[in-house]
Amino acid sequence: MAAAPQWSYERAWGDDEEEGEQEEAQPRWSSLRDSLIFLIDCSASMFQEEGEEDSAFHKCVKCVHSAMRNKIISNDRDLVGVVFFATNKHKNQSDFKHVYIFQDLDVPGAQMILELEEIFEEDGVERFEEEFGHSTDFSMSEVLWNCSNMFSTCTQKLGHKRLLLFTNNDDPHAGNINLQRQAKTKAKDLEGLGINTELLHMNKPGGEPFDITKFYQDIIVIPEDEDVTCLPDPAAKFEELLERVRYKEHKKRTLARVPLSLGEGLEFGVGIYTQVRETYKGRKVKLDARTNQEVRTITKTVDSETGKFLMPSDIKKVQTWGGRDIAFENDEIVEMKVFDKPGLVLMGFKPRTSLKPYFHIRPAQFLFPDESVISGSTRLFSALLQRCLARDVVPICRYIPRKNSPPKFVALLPQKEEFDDNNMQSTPAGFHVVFLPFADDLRKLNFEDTPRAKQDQVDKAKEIINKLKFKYDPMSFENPVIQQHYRNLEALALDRDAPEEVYDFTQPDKERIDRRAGPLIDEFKDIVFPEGYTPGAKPKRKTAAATAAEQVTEADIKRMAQAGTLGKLTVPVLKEFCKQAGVKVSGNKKQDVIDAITEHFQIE
Amino acid sequence: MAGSPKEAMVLVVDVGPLMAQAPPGHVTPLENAKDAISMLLQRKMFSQSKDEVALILLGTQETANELAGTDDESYLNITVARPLGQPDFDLLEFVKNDIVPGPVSADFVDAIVVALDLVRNQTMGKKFETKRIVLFSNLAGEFTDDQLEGVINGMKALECEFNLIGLSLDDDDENGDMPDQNGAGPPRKERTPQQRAGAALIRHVIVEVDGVAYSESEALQMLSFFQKRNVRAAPWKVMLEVGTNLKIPVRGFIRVKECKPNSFKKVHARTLSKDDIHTTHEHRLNDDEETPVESTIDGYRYGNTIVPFSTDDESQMKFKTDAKCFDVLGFTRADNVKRQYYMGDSVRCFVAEEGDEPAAVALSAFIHALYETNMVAIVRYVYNKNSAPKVAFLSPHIKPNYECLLCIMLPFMEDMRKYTFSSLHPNNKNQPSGTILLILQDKIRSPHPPMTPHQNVICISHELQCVSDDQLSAVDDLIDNMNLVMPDKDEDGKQQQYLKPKLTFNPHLQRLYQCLSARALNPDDPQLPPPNQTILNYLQPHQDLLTQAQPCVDKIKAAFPLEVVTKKKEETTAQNIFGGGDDAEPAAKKPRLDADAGGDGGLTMAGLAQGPVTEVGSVRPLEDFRAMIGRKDDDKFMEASAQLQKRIEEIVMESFGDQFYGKAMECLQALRKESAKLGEPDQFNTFLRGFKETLFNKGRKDFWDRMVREKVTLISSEESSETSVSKEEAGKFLEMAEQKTEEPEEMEEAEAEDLLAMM
Repeated sequence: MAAAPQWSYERAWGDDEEEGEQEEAQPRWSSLRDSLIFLIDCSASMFQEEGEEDSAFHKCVKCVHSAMRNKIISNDRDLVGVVFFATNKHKNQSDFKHVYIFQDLDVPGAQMILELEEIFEEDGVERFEEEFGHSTDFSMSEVLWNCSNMFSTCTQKLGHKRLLLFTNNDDPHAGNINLQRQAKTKAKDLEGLGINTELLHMNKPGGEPFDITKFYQDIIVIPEDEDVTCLPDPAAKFEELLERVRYKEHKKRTLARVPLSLGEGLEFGVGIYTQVRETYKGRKVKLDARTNQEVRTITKTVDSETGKFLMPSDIKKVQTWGGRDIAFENDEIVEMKVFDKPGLVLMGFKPRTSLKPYFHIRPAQFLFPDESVISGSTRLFSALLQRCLARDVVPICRYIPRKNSPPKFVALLPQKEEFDDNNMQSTPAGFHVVFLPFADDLRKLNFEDTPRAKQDQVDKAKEIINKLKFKYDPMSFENPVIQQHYRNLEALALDRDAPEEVYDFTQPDKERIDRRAGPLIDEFKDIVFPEGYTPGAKPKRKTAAATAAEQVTEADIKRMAQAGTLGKLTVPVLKEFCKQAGVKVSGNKKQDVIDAITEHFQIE
Repeated sequence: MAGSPKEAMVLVVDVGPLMAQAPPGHVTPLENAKDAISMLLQRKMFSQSKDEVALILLGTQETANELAGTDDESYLNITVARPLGQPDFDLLEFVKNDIVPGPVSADFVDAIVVALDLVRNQTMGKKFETKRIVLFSNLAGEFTDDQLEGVINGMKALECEFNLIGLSLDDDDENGDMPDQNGAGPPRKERTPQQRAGAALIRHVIVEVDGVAYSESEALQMLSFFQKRNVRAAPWKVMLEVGTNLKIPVRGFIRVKECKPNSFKKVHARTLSKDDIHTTHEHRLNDDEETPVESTIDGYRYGNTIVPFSTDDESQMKFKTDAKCFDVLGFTRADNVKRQYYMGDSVRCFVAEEGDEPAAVALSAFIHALYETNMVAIVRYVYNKNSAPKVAFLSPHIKPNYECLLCIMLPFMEDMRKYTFSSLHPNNKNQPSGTILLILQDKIRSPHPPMTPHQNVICISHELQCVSDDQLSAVDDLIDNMNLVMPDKDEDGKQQQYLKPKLTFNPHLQRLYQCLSARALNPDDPQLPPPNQTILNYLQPHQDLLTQAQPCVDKIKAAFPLEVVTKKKEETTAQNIFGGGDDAEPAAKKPRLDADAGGDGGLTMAGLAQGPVTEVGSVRPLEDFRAMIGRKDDDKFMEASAQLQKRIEEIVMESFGDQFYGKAMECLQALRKESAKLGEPDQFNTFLRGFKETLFNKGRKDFWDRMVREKVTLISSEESSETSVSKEEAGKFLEMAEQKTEEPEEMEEAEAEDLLAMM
């Protein structure tokens, strides 16, 4: 897929170039680890092609294909199945007619993807006729029953059970009250079993709109306050399903649930969450190259002499300092980290401005009230948050995230809850847990004094900055390394000739920058850089040896040569002396240099 | 390459009789000096500094210095105890044990001359940023001043700094001695005329060479923390580019980065040698056939398909970058870069290339322009050819003595976790509860129905969101009374703060160094020293603030009803199930035991067909164990039982609920029986004690309950004569109430984070 940069420069005031506003980050398919059955209507009308467009069935399979590939990357432990109904043949445990389990619930993999792709092949439609056929004699009740069976007979424990029903027929059991009633009853059963049925309706051949009130409003789950009669355009949903997603979904999970103590005997509960964390490629596994089967890796600590397996008590751990190996038991090393029980302890408050931008040693975490251990926590949390925001202060806390972890100091940066135009929450209320560095973490740097810019130079820089303004949003930047990895993996797994191309969103569009700010940059260079200045060309500097050698006088060298202690000096220092005193050295060894110097002073 | 600046320091310690005198109940000046030197040496060692230290004692019985002997009167009773060299524990031990009061008083001016001579001779040809002589003396001994000018000129010529520790020169003799302000030292005696003369002389030296004198207590206070580690600043040199046409040569240095403790190396407990121990990695297919390392290949999962991915494939197909890069993508308002976006583990600081004035001016123009417009630059950051590209931002940082751009990494889209939290807003009528809100939102985002609320949102009842004015004012009072900004200002007119990061040392490192030092000097002492009280103090809120805020705390307690919820059993189980590390980065995950493998026991044909069992596998641990201990050719009991112990732990910990508890129990009982029968009860008992703890710590108390029911306890002397565990003790083992479960439960650990940090 060709991709354009996902962000663009803002229109500076008086700017004549037309630049689109940055698009909202696309809503993504979000789900937990769950199970999902794609249920596809295979009646003949699904196969009708209209002009250039794909048939409805073809669209469905494409959709499933794309969704499945997404699933492999985003939630690789979720289970997926594909069921055809309104087929002529059947394949299922209960021998229901016209219900064909194409792929039973399983973790998707290359095999499933390739099977779906076969349906796209040129003679796919003909082969489909042959293998599955069409029929209209199915019973929706049995179709649903079959899916329910698939969920219940699955050996894995399932979290969420979903059914995604693709059809273009809004009234499958027209005129047959009995079948309709059975289907509705069965749908209720499924709901009772916690199976969510959702409809992906498609327009009927001829473009007639899909009328949900005819049948499906009693089959699918519809949120109470949604207008049932007016369904959203199916195209949007399809678009979303077809969109390629290549990043892992993360399940929301507390990192820790700990008490926050405000003082003697005053604690309330908070949950700590990760908001941002570097994503790595998936886990590498070791395979036996001969069979490509996964191997188990067993790591053992053994006695070098006897080769015997060592127990933890046979092992100590050392660090070497001041010339000594200092040994500890593992338990002792753990003990050194223990200062107190896990939790947050309020140390006091500081103005928000005291939280310097360079107080950063790791990404922040997020704090939200937790009622599960101490009830009433939310109210106190909320009061604290409101007052911290109003007073513009940050609580400073001592934070021990879990047992056996050493304490850190953190600043709790309050965040106000915000709502968007639709009155939807856009920013949650809570505190960001900003980790403060210790003295040990702050490095001292010394810089020489350098000249500073004059106001006209600063003003020119401001003009450049103004031309190159954009609204930064982390959602605009995909990680090209991860994206390349996923594409490679996909290409190898599905036996493609080459991986899909990756667009590197981190690359600056230099051409555009030049176009927008080129003349200003030239003006800036004119007033900042002297004539003939080449960035990066610098005068040769004195070597360290030359500096050191300066400190050693000729008299010192002579005295040391007499005392025979020249060996104390380093080779560069000695060589530097030779260079300055014009002493010729034959050979490269230190002794050669020393010999030459000794000879120079004519000492024997 | 230039090393980090280092210092040559000569410690000149007066051990004369007058240093060994103190009023009853007080520490002698010599002991204080020894303490100060010990701390100083430890600081130097643990900060990994390259500084070198020499030690000269004056007042010793012997005379051992290069200047003595030139004439008979001078430089007597002065010993060079240690030439210039990096400090080590030998030196520290010498200071602690071998610096003892000497019999005579020696001339400290002579000692300084000896020190100067040592500095001159031993620093020659080596590069020292600074040279320093530190005299530890109360200046009570006699001295001659005929060499005084020579001393001063010598110090000036060698650019050698000078400190005195042991006598404060601030007090004016004429006003008499003031009591020690810190109250830490002994009450000061009236100074002797000799001390006054000495002080006058040293003051003259200090004025001439711009030195500093400290009292004992000042010195001890300054040295009471282990110094932070010295890290050599290595610049990353690169062109900061804007478009194709503007290049500014800059250098980046790490300004802030977490200083982690050094890693420990495994050694054999018996010999304490690294060579007697090594770690092996075996790769085995499921049938326990070993695969040689050279026959293994890396792979990645693509759903349920495993895709082989050789190192060659990977390096060939991976995303490549051309060269190091520091290109500006554009500029954005500073508030678009939110605090929670900050990524990475460090802050870098960029200044212009050394000596490049035009670059400095150009950078300065951008620093000030960003500062004045409240903007930051977004840059593409590539450390080196083929390093992974990153996005970072540059923010201006202007100080009186320097200015720079601070650089912090930013997240990619993949790194963002967009979790939904319920509303805390009390007046939002449209969202009566977080649950509905979530459903609506999810509906919009996703083509699928939402997940059930309990798993992705914490429901907050409407009532809990309402906070009264009284409650708010109670919190306000707390904020007022727990202010970490002190009311008084320092000399520079700056507001003083408690807990300034710059002055707060990492307690874990301090404790580690303290333990290392104690163990190095007393390797046979099995106890770790108690944590330093100074550290424990600053880990608690300041006592003044606590006292001051206690009424506010009580007020909040009264205003907010808070109640500890009694823990439900189900919750614990659910935690175990759902907290099983799903969110852990896959890199850190271990392959799970095959869930289908458990349960069925018994010998199989396949088992019989295999060669001798050499390892207790995870599939049929008990059979393997029995096979191993049943081997006639080799005594494998210890090995086999150690492995079975490991398996039992694994089975319990990896069990989905109590699914595999039966299997684990079977193994445990068999292990117990065999251990008693074969006369190895202690190994089993040790294991069981640790196992008990593990069960409690890892939330597997339900397995413990089963152990209690089945009475699986320690092997007592009744069952095996090899153990000293009594029957009562064994019985008690099962009774022992465990308090740990009362505590708020240990939550899911951020294991991935830690593992990654370790790698």
